[in-house]
Amino acid sequence: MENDTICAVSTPLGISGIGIIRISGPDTYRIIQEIFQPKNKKVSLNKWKSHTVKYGYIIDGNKILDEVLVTIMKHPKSYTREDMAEIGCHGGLAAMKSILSLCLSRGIRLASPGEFTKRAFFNGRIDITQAESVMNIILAQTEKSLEISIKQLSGALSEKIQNLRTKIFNLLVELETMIDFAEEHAIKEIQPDIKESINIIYKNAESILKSGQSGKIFTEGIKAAIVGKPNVGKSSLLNLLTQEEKALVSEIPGTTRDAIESVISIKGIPLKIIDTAGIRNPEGIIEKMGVEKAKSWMEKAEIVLLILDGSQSIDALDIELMKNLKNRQYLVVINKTDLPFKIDTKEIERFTNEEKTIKISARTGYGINTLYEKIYQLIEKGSGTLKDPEFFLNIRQETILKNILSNLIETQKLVNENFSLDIISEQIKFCLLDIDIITGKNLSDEIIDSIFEKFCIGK
Amino acid sequence: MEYDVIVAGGGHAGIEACLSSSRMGMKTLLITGNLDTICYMSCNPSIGGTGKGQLVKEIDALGGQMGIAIDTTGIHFKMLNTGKGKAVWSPRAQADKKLYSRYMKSVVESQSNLDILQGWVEKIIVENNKIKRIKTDLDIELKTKSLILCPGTFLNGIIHIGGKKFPAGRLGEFPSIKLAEEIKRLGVQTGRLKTGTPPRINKNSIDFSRIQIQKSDEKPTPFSFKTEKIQRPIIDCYITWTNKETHRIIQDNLFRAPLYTGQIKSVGPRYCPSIEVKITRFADKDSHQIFLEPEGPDTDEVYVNGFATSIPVDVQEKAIRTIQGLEKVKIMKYGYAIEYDFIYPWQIKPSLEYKQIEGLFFAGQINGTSGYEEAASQGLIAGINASLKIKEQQPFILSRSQAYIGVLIDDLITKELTEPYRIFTSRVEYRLILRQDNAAFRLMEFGRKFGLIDEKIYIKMEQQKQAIKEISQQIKNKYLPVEEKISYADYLKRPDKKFIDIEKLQPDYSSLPERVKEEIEIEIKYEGYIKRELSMIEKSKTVEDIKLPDNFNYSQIKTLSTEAKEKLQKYQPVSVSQAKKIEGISPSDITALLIYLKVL
Repeated sequence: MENDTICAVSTPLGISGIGIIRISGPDTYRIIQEIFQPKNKKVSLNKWKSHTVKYGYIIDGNKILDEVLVTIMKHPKSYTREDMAEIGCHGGLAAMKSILSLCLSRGIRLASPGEFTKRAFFNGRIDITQAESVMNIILAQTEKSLEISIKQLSGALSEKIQNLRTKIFNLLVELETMIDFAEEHAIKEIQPDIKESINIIYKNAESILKSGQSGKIFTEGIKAAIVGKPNVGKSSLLNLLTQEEKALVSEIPGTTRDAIESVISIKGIPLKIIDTAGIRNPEGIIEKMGVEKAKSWMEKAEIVLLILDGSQSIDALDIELMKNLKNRQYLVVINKTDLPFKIDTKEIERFTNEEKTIKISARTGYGINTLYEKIYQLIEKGSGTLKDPEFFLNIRQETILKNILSNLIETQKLVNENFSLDIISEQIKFCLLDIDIITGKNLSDEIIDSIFEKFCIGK
Repeated sequence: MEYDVIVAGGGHAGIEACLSSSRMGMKTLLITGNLDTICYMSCNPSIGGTGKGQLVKEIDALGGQMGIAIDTTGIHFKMLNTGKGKAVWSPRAQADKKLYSRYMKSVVESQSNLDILQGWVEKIIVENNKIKRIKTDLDIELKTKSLILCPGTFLNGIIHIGGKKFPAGRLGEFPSIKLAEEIKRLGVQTGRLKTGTPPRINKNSIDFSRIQIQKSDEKPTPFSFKTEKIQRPIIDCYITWTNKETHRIIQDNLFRAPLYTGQIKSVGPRYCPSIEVKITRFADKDSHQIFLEPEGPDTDEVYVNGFATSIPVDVQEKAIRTIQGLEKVKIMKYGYAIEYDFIYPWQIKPSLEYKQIEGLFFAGQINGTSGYEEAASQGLIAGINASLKIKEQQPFILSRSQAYIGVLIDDLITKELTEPYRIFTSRVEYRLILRQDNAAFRLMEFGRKFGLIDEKIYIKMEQQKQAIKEISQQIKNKYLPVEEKISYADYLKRPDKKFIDIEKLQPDYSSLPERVKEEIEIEIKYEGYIKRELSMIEKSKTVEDIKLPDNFNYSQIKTLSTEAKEKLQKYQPVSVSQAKKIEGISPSDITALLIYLKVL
């Protein structure tokens, strides 16, 4: 039995912004110790009773990644019969992903599909019938939440992967023939253009990754930035959207300096909202950093929501921000319409049009549904593949494709430096082994793993 | 007379088997039908090749004889794949065929604990599923604790040349008919395989001016760790080509070729097709390469490598004379095909012991392999395991991550055999670790443990191993006299650098043995890749290693599919990894099996 420590997101990614990261293996408590800071700092991990939940933060050094609930289950009373922990995340997909990356960077391995169930099975926790029913439940849930036929999707993906595999396999076969039939004249006719073959394979893998990522809008969502000068009600709007007291709301300008991310569902598409620091005329260094950050978020975000205060006249800072809207997907949101309306809409229309302007009141909730609808239209406009994703890649598949790409880049480098065929061939073999993990095939005959291949990641 | 071990068959498997068991202190008898053809090369007079060269190195490291034998009797040496990276370098050598056989005979003759007898095993007496006695063709009864059968192609051998067919072990020798019947009587399941060999032609009838010469390596690399330097008279080989006319003649006579008339029914090796198969399968090719390999300095017989055939003699002659340089050639021995019995190797354990009868071992071509090196590997392992069994010790089993021999035996006992099995480097998962250059460092420890390695040799190996370790470490901590911090090791990793470049920086390294220098260079250059393979080996040591019970009644596991019950019953795999590889065993069968075993 493999006895390293594994982790994975164990809830389907989709409309839900809440998810669980599961960790299993001997290093579970070490990693929890490292990355989890209980709210009640008096709790020591040794005295933490099995099967109880603690509230606190996931920290990366000094940086708080998310507030979470952590459950620990000491072996053998756990699903896998190993030491386990479950981190209930609230910060949405990006937070979940960054927690996952944090675990990976601390020496925990990403679980293969069905690996938790595999461990449960091998440690005698469940029998084969149970294992199969777990799989059925997972599949059913996935179908429901994504409203996409998994089978269709995996079919489209597996066909693409199969094509890629064939290309890599053919190259490998040629290389191996050159090695094993050294004396045969026939091999003199095999002069594979290794560079060109790798190029073709690289482009192929890259295009799968790209189209998989476009389907990813459903699983990973898109980024939206809420910007505006201090006290226009950005945090209040965020709270309204997420219906959670998540960001700090304050009358004192400039209290929300760090970007906090939340995820809301716009017709099934996760919209990751970044609240940016208050922007005002840079008087102090901290605020200046805030302004720069806000601008940089506007650059990075796929959608920008610029908030203006309807109860005040437009000032220079508003104008500067509006200038930055050029060439971006955006909405201008006029907030505080419950107060006397002082803003001059003509001035706004110098930078945008009526269609992209919306009036709301974060306090009363006025206009919020129209805001949702406008955001959806914006997403739709920006993404052609929104309606009908051919397939999507989960984190594991994406990781593997990225591995293959970096492996190919490395191989290309080795070819350029005239490295020997035994190593080139080994590199290509590794790409193939990687692919065979995606499709559940295994070059080295690892049949036993294939039953679990059908399982979604994390279960 | 009572023996610990009786080895039947004096070929490449049998010789390694009887030498290892007698060297391990077992009272051993070698019985073979013809003492004048010990370790005779029925086919190509050469040892080594891709993958095979690695096997020879491993046999040598474990204390076998083949490496020294070819170093002592070779006449043409070549390191293959030198342009493709050290991990796939494979040594190959032509042998002085007669001398090789004579040398091996003298080795067995001078071996203590070893008796030699010309004769044929015809009866095998088994009591309580244990080997008890054998009886020879001359009705000599001999008691024994174990029996290793290495009959090669002799078991029910039938030779085909054109329409002619006749019983033979190989051309000019009797087949083993009674033993074949006896093996079947014991309940062993057998099948038929085919192999073939080309004509031998008279050197004096070759027009050497019209063919291309192929030189031996100038500084041959020894096969054996014990050989310091190869000092042998070297002979050239030659290359020529078939042409359209050759192909036309064969094509026109396919209706007389036993491979196409239905006269030969069994399957031959795909990697070694006869010329008639080549021209049919690769009909678009106008020409095939032919190697002319002298069989020794004091014989005029030349082996026509690439022209294996069983077409009628008149067609052989007509076709071969169309080849450039061979226009007036005289055939001394005609090419032929041979069909023979083999046992389905799923019936044996990784120790090569037959699952149903204690003390009965099978080694070599009888297990479905082809090649002297594959045979010798098995002979050595069978000899060691027969001895260990008598000493009541655990069998010696090499894993796929330890040796080419491990891959060979694992493949044999777990995969469906559909053609004679040959080792290839691509069958080996951990090729960068299992190299020909480090075989002694990987395996000599085992050979020494069994008493098959001379202590002096072992100490020498150990010293070199230490030196490799120390100097590899040293060069990681020494830096070039430049501004950036570049260690000697990193410098050596550059594709254009060799150990000699390190010697320039550190002159005292130049006195190191060449083998040490070579090892350091390879280990450093391949370091990253070796590490990756090592971590893969670690990962694969999972459920794979779970052992399954001997002679287990699988029909009692109700959750297994009917096919799985039958297959597992038949193969009796020793481990989960073996069970998984059996065709028709589904993952859920494996799961069911594991659950059942936990319940046990």
